[in-house]
Amino acid sequence: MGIKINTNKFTKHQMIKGDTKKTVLSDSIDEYFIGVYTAYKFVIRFFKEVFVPPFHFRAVVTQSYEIGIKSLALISVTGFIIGIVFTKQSRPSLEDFGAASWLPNLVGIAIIRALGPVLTALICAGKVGSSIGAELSSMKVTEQIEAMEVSAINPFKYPGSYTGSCGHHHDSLAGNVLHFYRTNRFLYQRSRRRNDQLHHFF
Amino acid sequence: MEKPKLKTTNNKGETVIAIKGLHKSFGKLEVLKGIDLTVGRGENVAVLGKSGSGKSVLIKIIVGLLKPDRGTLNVLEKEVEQLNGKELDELRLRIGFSFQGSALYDSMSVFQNLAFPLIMNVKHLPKKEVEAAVEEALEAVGLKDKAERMPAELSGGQRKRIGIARALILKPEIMLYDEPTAGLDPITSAEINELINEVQEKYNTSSIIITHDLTCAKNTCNRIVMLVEGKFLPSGKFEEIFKTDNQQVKDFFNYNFIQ
Ligand SMILES: Nc1ncnc2c1ncn2[C@@H]1O[C@H](COP(=O)(O)OP(=O)(O)O)[C@@H](O)[C@H]1O
Ligand SMILES: [Mg+2]
Repeated sequence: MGIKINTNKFTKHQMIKGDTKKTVLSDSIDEYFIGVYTAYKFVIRFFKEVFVPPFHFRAVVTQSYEIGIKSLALISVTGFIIGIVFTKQSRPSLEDFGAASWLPNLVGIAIIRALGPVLTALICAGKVGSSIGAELSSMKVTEQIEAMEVSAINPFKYPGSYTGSCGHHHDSLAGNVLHFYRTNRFLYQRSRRRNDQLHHFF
Repeated sequence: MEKPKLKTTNNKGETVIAIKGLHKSFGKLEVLKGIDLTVGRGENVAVLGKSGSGKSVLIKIIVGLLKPDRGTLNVLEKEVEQLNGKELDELRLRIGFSFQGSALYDSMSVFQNLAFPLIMNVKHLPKKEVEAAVEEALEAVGLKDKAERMPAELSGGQRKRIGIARALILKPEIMLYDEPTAGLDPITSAEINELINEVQEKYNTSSIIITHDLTCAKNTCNRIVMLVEGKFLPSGKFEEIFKTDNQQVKDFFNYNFIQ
């Protein structure tokens, strides 16, 4: 047969595991702490996996595209509107001091340096985060995450195609950075142009 | 429906799965209460049991997706619980798992679904070989023309078959089918049964087939075990099980073949 089966030789590890089944405080409190512990373990594992090879660079690029560039329209519109409001509201005051020619710089710097990153981050967190969450949970429910594990693919590492798995957080980071620069440049040019136009217009 | 005589119980002595005294509970719910099971090479074993009896939990424990509370679990001569991540991955590559709900990656086409485990596990595989492997697997399940479809565009039975093809693509030694015919019409079920038999003959795999479908069990399996209240009833050939006095087993049969 070649296979020996140890019937009643439980390892220490298994004994301990059996013991943890006992309630410590009360069932619901125990459950809460176990939940916290599980979440903590998950986060730790995530950060471990991010910095450990193999890295899937192509996936990172795809995800950066999906997350970054596909949010561009939304972020641009937001930036555009903020630019208009800013310009319209500050111009009268600036004009009183004869400083209307500083307006483009003011708006440009305020939006690009100060608001751009915040906006991008918030929109990424809101729009992209929730879509990643939705996709991940649907993958979990339909056992796609388990399917990855079973075919020896680490779901922390590889994000499916759109918003694959937990590995996504690291992609969204990349997307964020990429997007950040893109949006910034884009917004900068935009606001420059827009402000010049507005300037002439008023 | 006559089943072709299964001839592949060669190298009979070799055991590929050996489970002894397996316990598993979720919180207060005891699901498995001491499971013993051995599966030989080239053997098909059907696991019957009513919904919620822990059949899926059992095979998830076999591939290490869930951890047992107690008991020993030996798969392909490896103690599953003692394996580290890498060894577990190596073991999993030798096991094919067909999920209850197919579990196709719904953001990928059928082709990508099949190619994905290959590309991720075999380094620097030429594109031609991937295509050939995918084609072979699709051919085995008779869905060669569906390669460019998305999973959402397939019927339930087709999805099941693609799921089986995906499990087959790494040429596993053990196949675990989780309710391969559940929710399918009799004709498609018969096709899937045939597919399971073909797979066993072609690749000499050992299989555990979870099912409520007695026709499926009868036509594909050498042996049947029944999971009742967390334990297996004595296993046996289809006819032996049929003769039992156990009320649960009787109910099971009565429903399937209206007497
Ligand atoms: N991950 C889990 N957490 C908690 N309970 C679970 C989990 N998986 C399964 N169960 C419970 O275990 C029991 C058996 O489930 P399962 O093996 O899926 O049944 P089936 O025999 O129909 O496949 C069910 O009562 C289910 O609620
Ligand atoms: Mg099940």
